[in-house]
Amino acid sequence: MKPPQSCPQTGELINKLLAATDNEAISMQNDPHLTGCPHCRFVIDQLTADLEKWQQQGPGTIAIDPTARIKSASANSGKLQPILVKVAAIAAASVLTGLIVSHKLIPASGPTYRDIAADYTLELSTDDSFPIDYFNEE
Amino acid sequence: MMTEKQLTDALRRRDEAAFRELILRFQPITARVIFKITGDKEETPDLVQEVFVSIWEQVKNFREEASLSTWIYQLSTNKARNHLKWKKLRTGFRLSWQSEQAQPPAGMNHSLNMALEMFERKDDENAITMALQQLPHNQRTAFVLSKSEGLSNPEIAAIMKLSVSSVESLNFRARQNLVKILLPYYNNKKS
Repeated sequence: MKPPQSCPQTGELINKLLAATDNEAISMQNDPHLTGCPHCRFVIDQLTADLEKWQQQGPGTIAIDPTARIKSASANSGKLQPILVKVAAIAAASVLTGLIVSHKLIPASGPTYRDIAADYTLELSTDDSFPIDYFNEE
Repeated sequence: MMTEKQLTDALRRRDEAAFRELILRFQPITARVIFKITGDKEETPDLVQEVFVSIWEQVKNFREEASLSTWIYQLSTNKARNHLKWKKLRTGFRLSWQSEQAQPPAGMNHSLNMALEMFERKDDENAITMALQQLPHNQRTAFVLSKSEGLSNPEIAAIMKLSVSSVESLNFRARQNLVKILLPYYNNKKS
């Protein structure tokens, strides 16, 4: 007799097996439904085999040598340090020179904000340029 | 054999013998986790190497709030996630859902078809490996740590920096999605 192609309980049994510990998975083999349903028996047997295979699966023997990489990283950081110190010293010297030069070249007694503001203050009583008579004309 | 505390202290002193012992002890775990999350056999050795270089560089900042093994699991899962993000960006290929809020029915159908096509092409591949590649990263990581590494939910919560209930929820959704992918596969395989 050809076994049935599907069973409504298969999904539930797959879920149960995926959640099961090793001992629970072993005891699941005696589930009363599995003894009477060839479809579920087939699926659960396949899944059990696939799960075991997956659990044992790995990338195999891998040859890595991170010690070589950390040594080369340390060596590189040793070489890099004097270069970084030089770059920092040059940058600091440039900034300092810039500050000194700007201090020397820009005159200290330039017009201030208050001076400029005073220039533009409108003094109606004393300002000759303002045509105040215009408003008084009849 | 040094304890984790002794090993950490020795690494902080830049003891290379301790570093070699760390590699011997933790390389299998790191390789297994990275391989199972990424499914990428070729890239795994490089990623494992990068994890150990990160340990060497960051051990001074390791505050021992968690155990050394938890920290190494964290670095490994983060490395795997970053690799997948980078791979997705590079290839433009949608390997996982962008977020947990994605529409499962549409995504699932797409993933399901893709998974079945892959199974047909690579019959020797493990169905679990292929189905896991269709899950969002968080669900995949929780499932791998639980089912492959045999870690408890509180341990997984510490590694993933989540609450225990979030880990339970991730594992629940991972199993539901795996059932949706594996059920048609096994039904087809039988017929």
